[in-house]
Amino acid sequence: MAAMATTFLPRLASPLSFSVSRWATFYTTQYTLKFLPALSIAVPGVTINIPGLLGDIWESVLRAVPKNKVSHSKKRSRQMAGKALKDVNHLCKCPGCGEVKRTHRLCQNCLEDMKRIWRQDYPVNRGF
Amino acid sequence: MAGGLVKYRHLSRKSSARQALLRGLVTQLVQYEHIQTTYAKAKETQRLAEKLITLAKRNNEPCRRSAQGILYTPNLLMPKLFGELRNRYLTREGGYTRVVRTEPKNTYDQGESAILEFVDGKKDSRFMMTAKTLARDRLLGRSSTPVTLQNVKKVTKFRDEKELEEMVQRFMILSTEGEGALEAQSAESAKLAEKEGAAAEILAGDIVPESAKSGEQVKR
Repeated sequence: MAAMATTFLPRLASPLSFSVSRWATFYTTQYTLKFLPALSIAVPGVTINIPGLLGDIWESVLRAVPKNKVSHSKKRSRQMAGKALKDVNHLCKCPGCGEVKRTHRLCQNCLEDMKRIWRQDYPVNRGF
Repeated sequence: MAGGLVKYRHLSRKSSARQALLRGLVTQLVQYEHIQTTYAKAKETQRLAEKLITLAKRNNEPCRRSAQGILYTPNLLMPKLFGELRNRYLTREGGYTRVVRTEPKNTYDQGESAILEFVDGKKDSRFMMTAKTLARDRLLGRSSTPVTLQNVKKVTKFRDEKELEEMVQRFMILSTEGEGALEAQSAESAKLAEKEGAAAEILAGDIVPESAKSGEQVKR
């Protein structure tokens, strides 16, 4: 009923005025009536709604920045974590020469000895 | 392996490159009877090599054709494959090749290496290793372990025992020669190394059993 009254009142007051200006006054009154109390509580002094919200996001983004440079040592120790060489525990004594060798592997010394004999037996390395 | 079930190692190659690689390796294997590559390549070549020997044993026209398709130098190696290798494996039911892991061949990438060889071939590492172990046991005057005796049995199953005996003798000569060379080197610094020698004898005492030790002293 109040809205109806406001629409009627300008027409009664000045019937010769343009319709555009009449609509403008109508909207401004509506706007101020509805949103002014809410805005005054959230951001006092700022009458525009959207820039206030954006400003909050902007501030939080700028705050998430590394405080210090990550040192070379810190970076390397982080990236090389879990990549250290493993201990070789599977060792035994070679039955052929008595040297220490890895289990389930041919002894390198003995392999060299074998190759010496093969070189004597098959000197031309062109197959046989 | 990543990517689910695979029936063979792809060796980081497309089909044609992999096939070429395996053909090359198997050709070299037939030629030299003993090749050293990475473990993965050795295991994949082993499959092809076993199939090739099966073809040679079957020895009919289609088999000869497909064997010719595998070998890169068929005119050189076909006579060997269908002669020597065929006769060698005629009585053996599978298991013609052996893959033995070795120390890394490539010192740069330290990749897992292995030797692929023909069982009972001219360059059989287990035969050589058994002979060397027997030679060492005899020189130290101790009895062979059950594992060595088992290996002797395996090695001489399709092969003459005389061959093994000859190889044992050769290894004994080789090791005594090596010792002689070492003695000549150490003669100059004998006085300095006396203490070290004593320590070495103590170490050797751990390896040699008591009975063998007494035998050695008698020999000296």
